[in-house]
Amino acid sequence: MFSTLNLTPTARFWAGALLLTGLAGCNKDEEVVSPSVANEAITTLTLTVTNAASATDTQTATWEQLLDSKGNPVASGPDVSKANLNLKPNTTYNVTVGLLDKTQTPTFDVGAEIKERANIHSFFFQPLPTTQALIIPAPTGADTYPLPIPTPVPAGNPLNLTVTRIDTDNNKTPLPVGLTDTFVTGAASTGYLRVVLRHQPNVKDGTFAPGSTDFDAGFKVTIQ
Amino acid sequence: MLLAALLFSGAMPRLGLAQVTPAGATCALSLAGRIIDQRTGEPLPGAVLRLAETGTAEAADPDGHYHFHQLCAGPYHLHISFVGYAEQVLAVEVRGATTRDIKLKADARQLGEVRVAGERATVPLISQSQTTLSGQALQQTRGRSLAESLTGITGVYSIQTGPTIAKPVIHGLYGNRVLILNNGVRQEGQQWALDHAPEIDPFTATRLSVIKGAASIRYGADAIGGVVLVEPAALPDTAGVGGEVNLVGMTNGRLGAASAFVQGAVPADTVRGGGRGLGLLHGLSYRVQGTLRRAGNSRSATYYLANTGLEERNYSLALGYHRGIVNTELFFSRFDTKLGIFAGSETGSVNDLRAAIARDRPLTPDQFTYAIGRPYQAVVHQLFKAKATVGLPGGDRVEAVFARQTDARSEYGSQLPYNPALGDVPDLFLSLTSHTLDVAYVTAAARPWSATAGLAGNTQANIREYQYLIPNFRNYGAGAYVLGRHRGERLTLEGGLRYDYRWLRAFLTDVTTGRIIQPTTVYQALTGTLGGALALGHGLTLTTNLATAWRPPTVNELYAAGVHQSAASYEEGNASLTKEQAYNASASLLYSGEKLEGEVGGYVNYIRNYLYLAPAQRYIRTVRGAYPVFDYTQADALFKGLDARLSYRPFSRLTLTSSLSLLWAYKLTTNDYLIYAPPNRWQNGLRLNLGDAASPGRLRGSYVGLSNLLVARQNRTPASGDYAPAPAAYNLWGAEAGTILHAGHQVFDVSLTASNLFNREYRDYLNRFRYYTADVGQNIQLRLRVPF
Repeated sequence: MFSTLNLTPTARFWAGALLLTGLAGCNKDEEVVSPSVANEAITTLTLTVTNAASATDTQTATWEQLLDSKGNPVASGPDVSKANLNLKPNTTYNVTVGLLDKTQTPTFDVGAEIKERANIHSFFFQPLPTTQALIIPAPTGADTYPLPIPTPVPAGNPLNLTVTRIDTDNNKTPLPVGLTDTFVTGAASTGYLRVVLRHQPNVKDGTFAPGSTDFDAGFKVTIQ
Repeated sequence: MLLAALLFSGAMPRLGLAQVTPAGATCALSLAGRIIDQRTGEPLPGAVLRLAETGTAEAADPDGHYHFHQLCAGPYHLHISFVGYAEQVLAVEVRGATTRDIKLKADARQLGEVRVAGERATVPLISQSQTTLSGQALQQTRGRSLAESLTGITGVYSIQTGPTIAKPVIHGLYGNRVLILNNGVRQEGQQWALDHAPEIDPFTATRLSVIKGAASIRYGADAIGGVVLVEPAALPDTAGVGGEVNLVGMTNGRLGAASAFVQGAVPADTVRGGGRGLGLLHGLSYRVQGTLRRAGNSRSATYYLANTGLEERNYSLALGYHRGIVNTELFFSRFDTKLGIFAGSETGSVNDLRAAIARDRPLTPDQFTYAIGRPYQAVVHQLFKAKATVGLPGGDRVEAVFARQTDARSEYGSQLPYNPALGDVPDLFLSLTSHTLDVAYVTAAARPWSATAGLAGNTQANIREYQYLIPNFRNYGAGAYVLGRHRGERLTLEGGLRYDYRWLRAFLTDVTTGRIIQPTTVYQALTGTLGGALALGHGLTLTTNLATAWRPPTVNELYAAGVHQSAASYEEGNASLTKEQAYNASASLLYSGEKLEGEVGGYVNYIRNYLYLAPAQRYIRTVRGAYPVFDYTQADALFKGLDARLSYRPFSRLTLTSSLSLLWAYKLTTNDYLIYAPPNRWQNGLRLNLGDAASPGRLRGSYVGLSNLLVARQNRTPASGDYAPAPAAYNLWGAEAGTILHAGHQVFDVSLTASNLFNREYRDYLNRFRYYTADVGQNIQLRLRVPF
């Protein structure tokens, strides 16, 4: 019923060649899926706040947003459960800012790298009332977003907190960086503290406007 | 007849020869030959040859051949004319079967005009509107990118991402809906975003053609909007070595471009001056071509655009071999570019974009540099092509083309990876490898009935690294088509049918399970076309065409998920999308008279399940801030428009041109306009031909010209989905001057062009960086072409 395929030597050669070409064309490199790597990911920002008058009075507050396997924010949203600061009124605190990339193994200390690149980075702090729209903690209702931070930050915020950046960069005219800061609290009040890291290559001038945002997070601050 | 010969050859010394021919001798001699472009060596089908003595005229056939029969022996004068070329008169002595090959020189008087190829030899369909840039019109665009080169054509626009990245737009459609054929091969590059420009060096081409309208029949799926053909000159077949050097300098961005080619041949027969004795080398021809292009920061009317330089290094090699009935050709090209992306376009969130829109001018450094920093793109595209044509008795031929393309795209974000251990790596890397095989049977064009039938197959593999934009994938495609044409006395009718099959499998990690999934999609479609061209007499021709076309959803439309930084958006694919189906009707009326030439064409393109990015009316929160989400969706869309162009020569030295492109693009499903539809445009030009200088032979074909471009404000914008309103209308002036300098036997073709002459500040609706910056200002360009 089935006829045997009889091939001449030439035909056999060509059939073989065709088969080899076909196989060579079908390498399966595309079936190996490389993991997503985000080179400029920052997942976690930690504020370490120490009372200037008492070294044992120290606390940390952490804001975190992890990424999924495609490098996009996880569906559950940011973890703001630890993004709370409880400060005493009329007190001075020494603050350090830490940044981590938890998508890398081991976790990479982005803060140290930002220090290296201080000339093109700048932190901005904006105390805000709890009534103002803020990305983090996640707003409910309509999606409205805070405006760029004006420079200087207007005085008279309902949150009685004054932030001063201590460290400076190596630009010709040294400009503040913000990895180390001083928080000075006033009378009892509550609000948010917005922390923004700006990337300002060749354009850093001490103001917020130039460049683009690398990180934008908020902490709930209670002064009592 | 003899009397005429006597009268016309009055200046010839050998008057007596005609007289000694005894009256009544059989006049059965012939004069034949081939007519080609002197510079490129390509045949000039449609060139008109007239024998003054007999009054008979003949047009060169598609291969450039001509024949005059039943001639008597004696001297003749052959007048040769062809649009775009200098008219020539040749004195020919006919004795026996005389062969005379003719080389025509491009005519400076035709500089800058967009001309429609008389025979439309390169397109399979004659009933569709086609415009070709060649000769001096192409010369005027040298040094610019492919999309920029085409924007002078009626109905063609370009969608830009800053000054370095541009994609062609035909009748309002772009990206995956415009097919680019580079040297006969479907260009398979990365087409996943608007900032992925075609990876082609226009210096390789001697003809750039645009077919407007659905042209899927011959070229396969995707050609919904049209086709761009990038065609190099045919390889030479006459003995000797020749070439050309092109130099371009532009003030804006201080762009410099240099391109050169050298070509030669060992002719197959002695008729073309090849001599004998080189054995198997006879029939060999070659071309080596290379281009370097570099620019620094572009400048708007008042400030520099930071980080908008570019570097390009390209080369191509072609080798042809002709023996007997077989013609083989090998071609390799490499395109290597580094494109700076405007530094002011980096956004951390939609906040940064809104702040940029609110500013009059960007906050980036206002200074010039050639250095390209992050962000930038680096793309390497390589094409290998092997083509064999077998000429069959009777003029039919079989063609087979195999091509392999690799496209490696690296996109570098605004800063180095934070982790120094990663090194200076891109943020996104994509590598696409494509193999295509096309086989076609083409019948001789000379007969009233002609046909083309063919099979096409392709496979693609894509591999990604770093960020996720699109997944890895494997793609198989196959198609079969047949096209027929009947050429009548006045009416030519044509029609075709095609079947296509596409198989696509993606490989990606499922976000929730962490496992690798392999979703597979299969699409198939039947497309058809019907059209005709009717010669109405008095120089009028009417063409109409009905065509369908389709496009399967691309891998990004199916599976994209991520932030698109320069667009300040988060784009999400949809795996359940269906194919896009287009129904296209077009008609145009052409007039070709002594003083007036023109074309008016209208078109309607109804697209069912048109794929586009729709605003999802929600935001995604990233650590940088919030981005609006855009989903790939489908809706029925309607594109209709009108293209008109007119060229008027009140007297021989003056040419006035005017062209108008109108377009209306609408989403029927949601009753809204489509975003990024080209605004209406009106171009006017005036050119004064100064002729040849008084001292004979020094400056020839000098000209000066003035042009104006008026782009209306796009008032038909969607109610949602854009961040800023459409920019105001603008009006730009241009000026040009050129001449051909003869120094001994050497020719120098020099021209000076100014665009945006008065340095007007403007923003274009189709430049996606209009949110961040004004468009480029004044640009004065000097071009030098030296053929040798």
